[in-house]
Amino acid sequence: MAASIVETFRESRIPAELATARSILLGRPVEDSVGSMMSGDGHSRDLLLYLVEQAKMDAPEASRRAERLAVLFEHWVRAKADRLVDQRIMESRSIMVSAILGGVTAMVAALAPVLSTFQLTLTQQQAPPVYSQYLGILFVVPGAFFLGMFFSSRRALFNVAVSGAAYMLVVYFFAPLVLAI
Amino acid sequence: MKASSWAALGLSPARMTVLVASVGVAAATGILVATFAILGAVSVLLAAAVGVAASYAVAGFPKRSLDRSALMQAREAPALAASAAVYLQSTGSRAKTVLMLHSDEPRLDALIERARRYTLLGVDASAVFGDTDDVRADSTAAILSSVVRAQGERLADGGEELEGMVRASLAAEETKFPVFLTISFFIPIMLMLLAAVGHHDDPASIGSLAVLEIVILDLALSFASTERKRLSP
Repeated sequence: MAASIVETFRESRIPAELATARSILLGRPVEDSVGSMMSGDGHSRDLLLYLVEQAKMDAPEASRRAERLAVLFEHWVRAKADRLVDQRIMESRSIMVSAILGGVTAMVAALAPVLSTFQLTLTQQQAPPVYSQYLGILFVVPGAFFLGMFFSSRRALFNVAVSGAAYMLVVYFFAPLVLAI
Repeated sequence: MKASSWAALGLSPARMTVLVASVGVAAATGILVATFAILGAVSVLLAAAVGVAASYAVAGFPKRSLDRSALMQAREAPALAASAAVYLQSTGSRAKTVLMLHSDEPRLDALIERARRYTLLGVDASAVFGDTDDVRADSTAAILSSVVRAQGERLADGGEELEGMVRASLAAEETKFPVFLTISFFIPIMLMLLAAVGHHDDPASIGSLAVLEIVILDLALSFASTERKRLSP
């Protein structure tokens, strides 16, 4: 039991758990050492109490049940770590998509004077409007913001910044070329 | 399916129907007012689609809340089983065990609180746990049933139900994220093209199109992030 507790909590960042492991390693009995972890009111406390009480009554049974619980919790810790990696991959994709979104929309905005001369209907041709290419950013900001919001509000601002920067860069370098042509 | 979740939460079907219809009409009217001058007859179709989507989002809210509860309860099941076993073994009394149980999931915690009150009044707690819509996870229901029958040997949970729920949610999230990514990418570009080709160069028209974009993206986000919200701790 003592070995299991030390093995589980020796690298913990929670002071109470670390103190328990240290106390056991210093040679104090398990029941005295787990005192700092018993002060809370939650499932971790219940589980620990359960294992300590079981070990007193029936050590092999306690060991078997503890192993089952440990395997279960280990599985979920691993699943959580995998999910974190997946999330980071998805976040990177969303940033790349935001940058591309900014760039593509900026190109469309820069080409707006050309696109607006296309005659799609048989009605009389209207005079080409005078565009400010920078107005297109009004479409980019919500797109990037919602893309980032899928992950977190902090991420949303970062996506907007990336997308806005890409938009500004492309308009700044590309729009004068279109006007020159 | 949505209506049954309304009943489970004790919401009046008549009131919910009125609320769902009102939200749908309000969203459709808003879109119609904002875009009719720019898009013409197309805006009627667009407004109808947005109205239906908004109604669906509101109608499905109680079900999403219940699904989230089910996942939280299944997540708690192994720990709940272990703590119930401790209490049963240490006290030898199912009434005392019921009094000592607790949960982090609000709906289950309220149910346990009700069971405690019944126990203190001398009524059997099985009357509370027996027939209720508050217990959404089968594993949690089985644990509570074992507690009221004082069957300590059955108090164990391997997390199978939780694993199934998490896998289903992950699969749904994997499907919805690319769809949301596509919508977020193409809607701004399409609206920019529309503004350019349709000669909508004044700030009012561009503002209206931006409002339309925000409404569509907001609805898309609410549909796409259901599983994500459920899986987040």
